[in-house]
Amino acid sequence: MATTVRHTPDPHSALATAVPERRAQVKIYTASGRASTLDDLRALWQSRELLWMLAQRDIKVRYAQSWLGIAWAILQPLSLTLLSTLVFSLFLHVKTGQVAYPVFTYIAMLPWTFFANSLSFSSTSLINNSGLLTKVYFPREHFPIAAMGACLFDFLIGALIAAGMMLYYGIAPTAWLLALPVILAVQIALSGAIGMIMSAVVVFFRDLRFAIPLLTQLWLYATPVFYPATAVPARLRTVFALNPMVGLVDAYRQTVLYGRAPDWQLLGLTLLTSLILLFIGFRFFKWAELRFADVI
Amino acid sequence: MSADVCVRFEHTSKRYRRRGNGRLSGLFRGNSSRASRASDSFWALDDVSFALERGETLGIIGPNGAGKSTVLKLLAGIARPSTGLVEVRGRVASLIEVGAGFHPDLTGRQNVYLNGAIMGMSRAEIKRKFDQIVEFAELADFIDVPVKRYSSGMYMRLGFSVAAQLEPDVLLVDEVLAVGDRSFQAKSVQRMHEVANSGATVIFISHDLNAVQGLCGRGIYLRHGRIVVDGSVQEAIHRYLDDVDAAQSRVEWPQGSPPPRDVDITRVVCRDEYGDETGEFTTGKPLIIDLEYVAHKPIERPSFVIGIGDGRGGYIALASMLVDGCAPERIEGQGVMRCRFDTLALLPKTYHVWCEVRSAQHGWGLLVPWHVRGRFRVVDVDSAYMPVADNAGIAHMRVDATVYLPYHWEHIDAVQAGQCRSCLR
Repeated sequence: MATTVRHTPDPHSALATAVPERRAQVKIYTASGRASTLDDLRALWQSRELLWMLAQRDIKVRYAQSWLGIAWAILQPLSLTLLSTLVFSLFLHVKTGQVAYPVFTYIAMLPWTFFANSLSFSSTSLINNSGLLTKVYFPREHFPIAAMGACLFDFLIGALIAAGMMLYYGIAPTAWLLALPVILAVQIALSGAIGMIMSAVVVFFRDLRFAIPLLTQLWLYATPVFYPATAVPARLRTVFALNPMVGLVDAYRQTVLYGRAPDWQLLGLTLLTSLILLFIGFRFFKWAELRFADVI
Repeated sequence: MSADVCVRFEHTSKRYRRRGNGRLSGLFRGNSSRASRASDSFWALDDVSFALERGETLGIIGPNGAGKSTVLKLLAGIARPSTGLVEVRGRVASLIEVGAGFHPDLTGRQNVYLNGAIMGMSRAEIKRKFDQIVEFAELADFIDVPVKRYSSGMYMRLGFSVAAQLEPDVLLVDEVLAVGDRSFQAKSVQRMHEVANSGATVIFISHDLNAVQGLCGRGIYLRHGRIVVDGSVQEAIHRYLDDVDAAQSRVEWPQGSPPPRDVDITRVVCRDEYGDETGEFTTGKPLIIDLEYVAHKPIERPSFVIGIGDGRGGYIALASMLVDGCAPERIEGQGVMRCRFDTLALLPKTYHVWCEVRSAQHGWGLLVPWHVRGRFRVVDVDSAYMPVADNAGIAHMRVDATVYLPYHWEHIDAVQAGQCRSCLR
């Protein structure tokens, strides 16, 4: 890893005069030397253009290949919502209060789909890009983050349907919708952290990638998507709150469906969890990154 | 490190695991003891140290698995050394497998931007160079077509062109000159020269020794992860070719022949001018090749053919009785067919001897099939035949040429040249 990054103007290079902003960077690679987290973050920030382009690539490729195009983004949460309406609302009579079951579920299903897809795409992002990984160096966290970015795009398209449903069911928007970017930011931090960790782990243990769909499925049922959080027995609530998706799904519902403030305490806890995971995940990822090219 | 040193390896080693892990089950098998790990790993690079100054062009040569690509991977920051350190100053660009970052579904234009960004160019920089890139690739008409519709040549050309427009301080090139047709290759080499002349440090890996020699001033010859030679590119190539030749001489060619034939070549013997059996010869001196045969029954007018090759495909010379009409009237029992080359015009390296025997009847029917049956090395040069003023220059001859044709230089100055032209007219 680059242990020292000195920025010195470079008077010798003819190229330096052609591109004045260029500076000679000295990079020293050793077996044990690693950059500080701050340097890693700086490198990530400096190559943000590339991150943006990789995310664009993932989006373009996804939509260029399938004739259904944008419909894919909507189809997944919508079909699951329809199915669960059938099963949980019509067959099992799950009560969702004054809010109709379809919109109640869709508002949770949409962020859930974003979360599940970004977990799925980012966890395989490194091994799917192994060709690049062994040829060129740039911050590797771009791969899982870009994969998540593409899923965020799907999420935003799916949000249009959510708006349509709110209109249909007569749910008036309130000022609390302004809290949505905050909630989304917490979710992005969480997805990014888990995506980074899983993508790195999958490089070393490839068979884990087959376990991820199962994990996501279990996680879905452990999250109040198909059912209201109030349906969970009181003695299990604490255990439940350990699942960071609980706080997120609840926050989306509170702000969008009920026009209320999100449970700040719960959301704050989720934010804390996400930030800790993000820090650990990033450190772990940068540690593992040195070994990717040897193993992949 | 001194101001002008751009690249430095200091006691750098790189160890790889032979068996990839990558399975969760491997964790539980408990085979990660120290001993099994040691036997499981090998050193791709073993205590390598060198330093390159700004503007130097280094060629790294060596057999497959010598650690050449590992050097580039360490420089590019893709892999880390296991021990020792690697130091690089400035922007590094690697031409390692061009087009690696291409996505088949994106258009040429989109891929140029993406690939440029992957190689470390800013969006503004790519925008500025976009026309140059497309022009270099000669793909202006196809730039908005998805690259999956490209031919492989077009694909590689575009990949190379993006990389070629980088303005790196250190350029890493790994065997990418085989891209495109002849004229594109020439353009690529030209571009690499430009980059080198602009003051960038170039590190070039190739099995094409001609290309290495053409581009590089300095040469490192790697073998089994260690530096054998670090010196001028001629020195490195010379030593490498010596080793290749020595290794080839140890190869055992199939002798004798299992299926019974009317005639067999039992042995091929190379002799020097004194008739002594040897494997080593001198450019400009005689070479004698004896084909020892056994004819199990009388054979009318058998035509012996000897071919000399250097392993590059095709033959450098043929001595064929089908052409010269020297076939003996009749052979029977054991005998020797001797072929004498009075002046060996071949330059120092290893050569293979091929031979066959054809009959005069049945349209040159094959009696002994064409096969490599021997080899010899040319190790020295007779200065009476080929004047050598600079021994290092022989490396250049060995790489670029096979045959020495005696020649004379003559200097015709401007005045005489004018007269010459007029008298020719």
